[in-house]
Amino acid sequence: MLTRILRYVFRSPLPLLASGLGHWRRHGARIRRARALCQCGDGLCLRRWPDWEARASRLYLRSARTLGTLAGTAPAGATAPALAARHALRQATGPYRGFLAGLARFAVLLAAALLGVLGPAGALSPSVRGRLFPRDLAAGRPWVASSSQDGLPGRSAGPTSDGPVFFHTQSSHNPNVEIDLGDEHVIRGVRVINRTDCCQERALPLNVEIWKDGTWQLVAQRRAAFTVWKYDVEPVRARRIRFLRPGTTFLHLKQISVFGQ
Amino acid sequence: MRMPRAFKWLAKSRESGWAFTWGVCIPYVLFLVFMHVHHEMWRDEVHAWTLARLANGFWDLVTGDRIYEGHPPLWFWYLHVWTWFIQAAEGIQIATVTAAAVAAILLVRFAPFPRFLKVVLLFSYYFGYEYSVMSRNYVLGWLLVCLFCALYHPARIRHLALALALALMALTSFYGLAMSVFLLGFYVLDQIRFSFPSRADLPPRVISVTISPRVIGATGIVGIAVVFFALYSDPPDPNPFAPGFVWDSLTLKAVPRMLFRVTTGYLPWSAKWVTDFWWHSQDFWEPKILLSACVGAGILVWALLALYPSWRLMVAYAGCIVGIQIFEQTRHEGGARHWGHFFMFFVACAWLRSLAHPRRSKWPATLLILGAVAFQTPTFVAYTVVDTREVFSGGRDTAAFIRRAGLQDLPMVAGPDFLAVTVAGYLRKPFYACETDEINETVVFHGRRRRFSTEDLLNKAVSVSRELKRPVLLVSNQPVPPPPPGVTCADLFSSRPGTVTDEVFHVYRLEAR
Repeated sequence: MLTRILRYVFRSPLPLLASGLGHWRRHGARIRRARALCQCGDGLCLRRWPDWEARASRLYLRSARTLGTLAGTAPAGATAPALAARHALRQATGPYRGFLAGLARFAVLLAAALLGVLGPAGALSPSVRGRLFPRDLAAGRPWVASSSQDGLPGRSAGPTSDGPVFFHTQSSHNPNVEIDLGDEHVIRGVRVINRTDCCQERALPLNVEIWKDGTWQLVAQRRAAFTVWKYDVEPVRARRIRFLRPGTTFLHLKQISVFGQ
Repeated sequence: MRMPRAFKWLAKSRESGWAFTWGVCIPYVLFLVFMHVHHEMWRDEVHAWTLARLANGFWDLVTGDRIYEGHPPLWFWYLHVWTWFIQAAEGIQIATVTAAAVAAILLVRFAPFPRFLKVVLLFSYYFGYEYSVMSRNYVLGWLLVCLFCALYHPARIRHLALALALALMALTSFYGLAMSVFLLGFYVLDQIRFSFPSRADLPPRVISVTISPRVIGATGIVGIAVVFFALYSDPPDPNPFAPGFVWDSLTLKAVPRMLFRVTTGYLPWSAKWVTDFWWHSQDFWEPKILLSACVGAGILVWALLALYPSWRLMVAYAGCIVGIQIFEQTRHEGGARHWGHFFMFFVACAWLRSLAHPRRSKWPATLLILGAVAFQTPTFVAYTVVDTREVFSGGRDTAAFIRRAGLQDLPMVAGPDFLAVTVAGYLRKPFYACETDEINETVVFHGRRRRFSTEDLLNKAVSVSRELKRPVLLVSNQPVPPPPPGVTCADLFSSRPGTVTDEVFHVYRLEAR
């Protein structure tokens, strides 16, 4: 059973796609014609041929022959063009379904090919690996807050906590927390988890700054309320990163991750 | 009596080819391009573009700064895609012209209106200026309304395509949501089949209702969009730009005002050849509240009669008008550009009615649309001519001056922040705002913003100059007070007064030692 499924999935989708497209091209005109005749029959047509009744009759007979039925089997109240249109549409359904199946298979094969290429590339190249599976550069690294209160430490290692906050500054001017990444890294993104139990607005706006060329440079700023904020920054090399709340207030966060390589 | 050949050609109400479509749409697009070249964008236009440009992906446009906008995210998603190709503020104008052009093609090619009516509709006030020259999200609403009507055919229902068009329409604006919900109502009513028992039937007599699972699926798709709108469109902070609902204002006394809005929506009249033309579109009707109420009631009755015999469309149109009116009365009254949706929705209903009943006479709907467009014509002409001759907003000229003078590398302190976004957006440059502690290229309308004052702005500029030890660029729409001792402040430029009267900017170079 599994072999059959795998064979079905990995069979080349191109013939199916081609046949689906071919059916679509062949039957498209027929469907349009049948629909137009059907509309004429229902008094809804916008464009009327002078010989539409004869055309409808011909199409109906052809449909009836293909179905192996005669006119007498038409449901009560159904007009000939309506039956012809229904038949033409039914004929078209099969190829459409095949076309969709072909597309799905194509997507699966594409995903498999991508995995086949990117998997080994990621295994061999740290650069590719860093992009595919970004490492948390801040995990376990030392951090220092501008001040502390509530018995929480002002400095420690690993900017995360199981509680609602991992640091809590006093009300001060430009409260911040700084993380030393240990070495220069290419920073590609940050993820900040705000305090979860209350006072989330205190962390707004929140600046992300890196120490570069002897000054703190702003790389991102969060202005909208958040619980989890994930942001991709322009890749930049830095060793020290800080999260600063401009103005005079408290600052407290639950977790900080810095992604890069 | 035979109709002359030329009249017959103009009155032809069905299309079978593309020649006429291109013949009308190409001049229309050229007209839009001409207008956009001469139109200096104001804050609402530039701000949306900057938000979309700065967004960190599509989901950031759902949960990030956009959440304070009060508009759903589709317009910002659409602009975000355009920002992949172009960063300059003019990108929003390209996006608007594209959307308006597609809507025009759909209207001219597929609408079962007389040819002359399609042409005058395109060159009417709303579709030729307000929704196509002003780069706002309403152009997407118009595009999706046209798409829905073009996709709809009673003999062949494209359930999925119709549902997707409605779902997207619900994510354009509140007005898009209202039109989407009531067009969904029309679509569902159109698809439900009732069968009633005859008198000859023995009890128990059963009324059976038949509905296709596809219709339920389509309703589900639109329902998801509506829920998404409800979750992510209301700003989380109460603030002056997004007040809550005031249900007490919904009284019988409000009815004349509601009808006035219908009248102004159909018949905006402002043939004034003045620079600040944009604020005068309701001057004609506002003092004559009784007359405007009578005219509004007459328009509504005529509109409903014009949709006869499609009771589904009549219900949908009446429901949509009532829904929008309740919103406008209790939450945000809006102006002519919002009330224009009454007219837009009637055009859509007339289109659907012609498809559902092709053999019925169309003259009541044609006459109403034609009359409204005729009434709008002086407004359209005045607005387009004055917009090409006069400055619309001073933001573009101010940004051009800053670039010309080589000042674009100086740090910028600007205020009020919601006005300075025009200059910052054109410059693509962040500014320090004195209402917040933020440095941004645009504004976020959260509840933490403080009141603006030129003293605060000057103090902010002085502190930034001292902190950075360099001169700063000070931009404001008001003259700043004299600087304190030790600070030099040189007035460099003032933009010309324009249509948006509060976007006249002054540029200063301030240095604190």
